Amino acid sequence: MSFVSIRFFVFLAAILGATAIPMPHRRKKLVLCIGSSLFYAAWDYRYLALLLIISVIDYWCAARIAATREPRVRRCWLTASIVSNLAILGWFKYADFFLTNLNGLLRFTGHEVALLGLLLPAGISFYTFKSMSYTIDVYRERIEPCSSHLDYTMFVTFFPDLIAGPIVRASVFLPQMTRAIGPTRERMLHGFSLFVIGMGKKLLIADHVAVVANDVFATPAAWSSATAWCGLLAYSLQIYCDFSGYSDMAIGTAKMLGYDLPENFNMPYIAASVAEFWHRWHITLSEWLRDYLYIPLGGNRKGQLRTDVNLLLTMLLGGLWHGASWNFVAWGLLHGIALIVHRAWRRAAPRSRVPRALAWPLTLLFVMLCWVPFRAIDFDGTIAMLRSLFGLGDGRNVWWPVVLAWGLALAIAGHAIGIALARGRNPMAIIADAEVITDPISGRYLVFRMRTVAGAFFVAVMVLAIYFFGAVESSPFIYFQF
Amino acid sequence: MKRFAITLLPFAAGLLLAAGVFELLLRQVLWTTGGPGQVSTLVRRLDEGSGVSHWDARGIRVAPPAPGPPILAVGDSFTEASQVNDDEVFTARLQSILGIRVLNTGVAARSPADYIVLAPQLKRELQPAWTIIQFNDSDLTDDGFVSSKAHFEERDGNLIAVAAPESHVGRVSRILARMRAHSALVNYGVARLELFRARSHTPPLFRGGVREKLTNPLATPRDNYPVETELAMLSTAYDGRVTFLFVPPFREEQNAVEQRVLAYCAAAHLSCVDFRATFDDFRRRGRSPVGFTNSWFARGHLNAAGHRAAAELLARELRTRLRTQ
Repeated sequence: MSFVSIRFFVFLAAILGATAIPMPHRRKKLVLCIGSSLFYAAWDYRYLALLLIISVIDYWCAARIAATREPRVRRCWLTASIVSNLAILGWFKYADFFLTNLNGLLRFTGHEVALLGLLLPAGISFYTFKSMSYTIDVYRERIEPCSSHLDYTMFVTFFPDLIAGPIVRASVFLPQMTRAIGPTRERMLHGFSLFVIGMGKKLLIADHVAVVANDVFATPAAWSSATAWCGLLAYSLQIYCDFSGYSDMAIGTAKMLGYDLPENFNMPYIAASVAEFWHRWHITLSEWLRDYLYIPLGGNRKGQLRTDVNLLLTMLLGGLWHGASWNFVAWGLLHGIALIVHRAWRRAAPRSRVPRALAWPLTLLFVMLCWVPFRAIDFDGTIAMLRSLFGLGDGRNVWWPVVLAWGLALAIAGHAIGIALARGRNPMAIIADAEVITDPISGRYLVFRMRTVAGAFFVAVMVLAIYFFGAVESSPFIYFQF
Repeated sequence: MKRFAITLLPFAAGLLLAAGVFELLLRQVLWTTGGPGQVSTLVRRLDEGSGVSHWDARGIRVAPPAPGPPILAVGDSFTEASQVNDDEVFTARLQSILGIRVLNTGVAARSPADYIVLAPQLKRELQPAWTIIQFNDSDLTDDGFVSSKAHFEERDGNLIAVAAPESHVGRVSRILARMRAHSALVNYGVARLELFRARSHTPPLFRGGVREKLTNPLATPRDNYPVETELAMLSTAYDGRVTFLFVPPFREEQNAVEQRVLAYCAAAHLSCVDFRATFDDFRRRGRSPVGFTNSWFARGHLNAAGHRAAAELLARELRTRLRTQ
């Protein structure tokens, strides 16, 4: 069930309506659990069991960990939890990738192993990571084990972040369990503001520029260099607006129900280094990888070489997390190398700083070029696209898509407002009666109060713009496939 | 109550103001004035191309005066060409090349059955010396056999063209039509709603993962459509003084329907222009005759360059045909 469908609006209205009815707190949680399960089952009811199995395993393992002080036993239960999660993830997501590569190796022997052809359960990468964070945090004694299985099931199945994040940690979500569930005027205002902004990003920018990106990446060798750059720019815009739009809608939906989800994006394309980019892009994933992979590997505590290896390994696995393809591995590898180079530069010349006016376009160019293997269908497609970009191909087709200019203009306007907000100014306060909220979990965001003529006018214009100018055929969210 | 009204007043004023702004905005990007039997203008600058079309009371696209007897052009949205300005349509360009009046009666969604049904009326009222009939492969196959509009039907072993069934217009529809005629906001709002409905492929609420491809069990394989009979009927309807303008998709290779059209034209000595003849030139230049900067590359309707190429192709063909008449 996509967030930008009539079906979801009906579903959301029903959930908000049901949670608005006065009833015991526990029953409201049950309503949310059932609603979330229905939300997931609408995609594929067969995999609902998988989601529930993961929640049972991790709840049980965490309870066992907390029940003993014996380090070896605790480690055993933690291993059991991690292995089960990774086994489920590996089986559904990477089995065919492994078998395809095995067949490549076995090619000379004349043997071939049949592929499993499994359907990737929606959101599996997100909810396994989410659930694993719980057992690891209980093991590290950062959080108390959850006392109610209903609470834990609600955490794992919570529909706003279930399919494509943000990756909410148990330590962030479980303490909110005591909050009253259901919509209030204030919650609806906060949630609605975020939801409309996210929807605008998706329907007014991402889905329109997707037409350009899809066309160019489908036949990369056919295009002239200039059009190939348009395609790459379009994809860079699409993936940002698509994913951050989804995150905004998820955070907005959760807020309507009374929960705070963590910030996932903070204007990543204004980053002036790759390290800064990863502090702004898919924040919940990069923090997850840092805390549950990079630091346990030794982080930066075991010398320069080991730090670089840890960094590279983390980014490689981060790339592989996105999908079972060598293209994603290449994408992770490129980012890993860039992070190592950045660290080396900082070590070699700790006092010299590249001016932001130079560092920003260089970083942006690098990030954009890294999207080529990320988006290309395969390795050949990556090479063909890179050849077209640098004028080494034979493609001649010239296309100047106007929609890209519109998308770019909207994204620049959004970033300008974002930069102003980050500097403590609120240009929207006057024109749109918007208040800046700085939430400890969800970060900084705008709430449109609609108390003045200008405020109501601005929100109505946004809603009408989405209705009249939004893409009619919305493409599935990119991160649904991960 | 009074407090509530005071709170609500700015909100309502803001909404009204936004609606007003959108009304003015939409009139600049997508708006039509007039209607059937009236002089009308269609402004279309939003989603595919950027054209302003003017139509006279008979539904003929406005063009500068030229001597007759005229050449009549019938066709669907490719001939109607609301994506480009009046002087860019192939009919207007053809008129300026040949120096003969070319009457463009193209209407979106029309199909060959329409042209046959309308032939007596068009011939009587416009008295064309020659007729250009524009179509593509789906017009002669799937789209030509849809019973909700003018279509072909086989009765007693004969193929006949059936007029579009008259649609019943209810009271609500009449009120809505009146509102749409006066407000771009309502007009485009309803159009968008129809678009959302048409494009939403709603799957069952709970489904088992793999989305099955929907197929129409009643669809006839494309090879089985009586393409040759349809062409013969079209030619007869306009007394054999016709030129077929076949517009194949730019991105696709020649298919069986196109081959059959060309083979039949050659065998029956019918005048036929295959727009594919221009494709190589466009490909060599890395350009496309269809698609716009605000829509897709190489997909959709003819752009200004495509109309120019079509006019040149038709002019070459018609010069020969009209000379031998």
